[in-house]
Amino acid sequence: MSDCVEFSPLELDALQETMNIGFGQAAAALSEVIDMHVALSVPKISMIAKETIADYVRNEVADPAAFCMVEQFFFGRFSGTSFLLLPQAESRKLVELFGVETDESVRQENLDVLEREVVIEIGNIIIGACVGKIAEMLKDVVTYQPPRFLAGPIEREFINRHLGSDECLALVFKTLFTFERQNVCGLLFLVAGAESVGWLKAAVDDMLSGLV
Amino acid sequence: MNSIDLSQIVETLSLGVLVLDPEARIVYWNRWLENASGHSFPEVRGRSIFELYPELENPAFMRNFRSVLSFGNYAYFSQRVHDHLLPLRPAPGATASGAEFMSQHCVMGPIREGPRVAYAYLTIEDVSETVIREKLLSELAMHDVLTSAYNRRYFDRRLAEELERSRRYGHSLSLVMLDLDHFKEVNDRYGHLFGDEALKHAARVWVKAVRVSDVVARYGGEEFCIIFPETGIDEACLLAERARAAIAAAPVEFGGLSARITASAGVAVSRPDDGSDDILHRADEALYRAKAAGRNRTECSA
Repeated sequence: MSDCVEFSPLELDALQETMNIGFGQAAAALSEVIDMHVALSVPKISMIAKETIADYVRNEVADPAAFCMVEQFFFGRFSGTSFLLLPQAESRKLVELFGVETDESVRQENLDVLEREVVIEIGNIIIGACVGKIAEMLKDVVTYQPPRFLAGPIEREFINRHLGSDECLALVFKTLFTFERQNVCGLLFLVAGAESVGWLKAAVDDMLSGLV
Repeated sequence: MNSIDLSQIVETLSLGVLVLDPEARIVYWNRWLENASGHSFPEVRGRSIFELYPELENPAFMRNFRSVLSFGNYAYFSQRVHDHLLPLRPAPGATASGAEFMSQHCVMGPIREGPRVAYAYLTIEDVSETVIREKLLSELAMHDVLTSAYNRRYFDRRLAEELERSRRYGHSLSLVMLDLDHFKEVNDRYGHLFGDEALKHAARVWVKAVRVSDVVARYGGEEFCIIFPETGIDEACLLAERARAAIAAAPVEFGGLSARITASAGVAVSRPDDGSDDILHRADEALYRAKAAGRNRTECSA
């Protein structure tokens, strides 16, 4: 464990503050982009052992089987993976909320497809807002893999891919997003891989030294 | 190292590539797009994409365009939802040339100058041929060859899905099982070709008699099932009775012969813990009662 990056309490506070600002900006920009008010809760930051992340995510929702998920990897100096969880039953509300225009026959036969595509589209934008704003604050540029939709259970193997070294703790940001007009809410987890935890710490230290 | 002139690639790609500035003015338009749209680059350069294609100024496109500009992420316009983003005609000579528009898969991404997103690019892939092949295959996989009604395989899958959906949203779902009366005698008396025509006729009449959202399927032999999604028993009984009356009122005409055929109908409504077999069993029981009570009638199970 000696090579692992750890955050001091001061660094964690500074990181928390940065993220509060980042998510605040993300919420404001998001509302503008999708033309609808979106609230993002203050992110909760945790250092978690990689192999327990799936359990952590599962524990955050009452009935993990009732959730669908959008997963997206992002790459930059800040890199990792994001999971957006939404109750299956809310996905239809999203279709109503974002009124995707398709003809009636498509709507009838492919409502499941339509729900899935709308969840992917909106998930992609929410993830882009949060990751993009964090990267911007830390003066980084990130690129993304296309988002993927998963309706199955939240699997450990699945969540652990692309997270790098096994021994070190991963940094997890959790936020609750709410579309107030329809009272639709879901959870977003951003997991920074082991390599970017070191970079994040350095970025936070830079900011702290700028304050002294 | 000298930088390579990538425009040589972009100009010859089998893919539409365009670049928009933050005001949605066209900054770049490749040769593929010149061909597909009939507009040359000099003709569209500096013009707003919305002036060229007003239908693009819709909420879905706008939020994705703004997202790419604000967050520097990527947007994916699925063919399955949008079919096409730009109203381009299908490529001439292609199998898809009968379609009104070219089916497209589109991706939008950022072009940065330093950390700032200065432009958004859009790539347009022609997926018409794939879509047509997919449609053809799914038609074949979903429909009964003789009657063009949905087949048993599709029906089984759809019923399971609709039951799941009705549980998820707390709606009820109804089902009618219809059986042509004395079908064996029709076959014996008028011949099998006439019998086949009677089956096709029944499917056509029933598709017309019910709603677009209802699923008319050939269950087997002379038996058909219709799923009524999000429908309670009372409404389902009315619809089933309408289907029964429609077939009784429209004689089969074939090869100079005409014959009146009738059907018996059994209706059932879903219960919270129903599997497909449970609701089918109740519909079948109701159908049996209709047959026993003299045929050409509708029975509803409570």
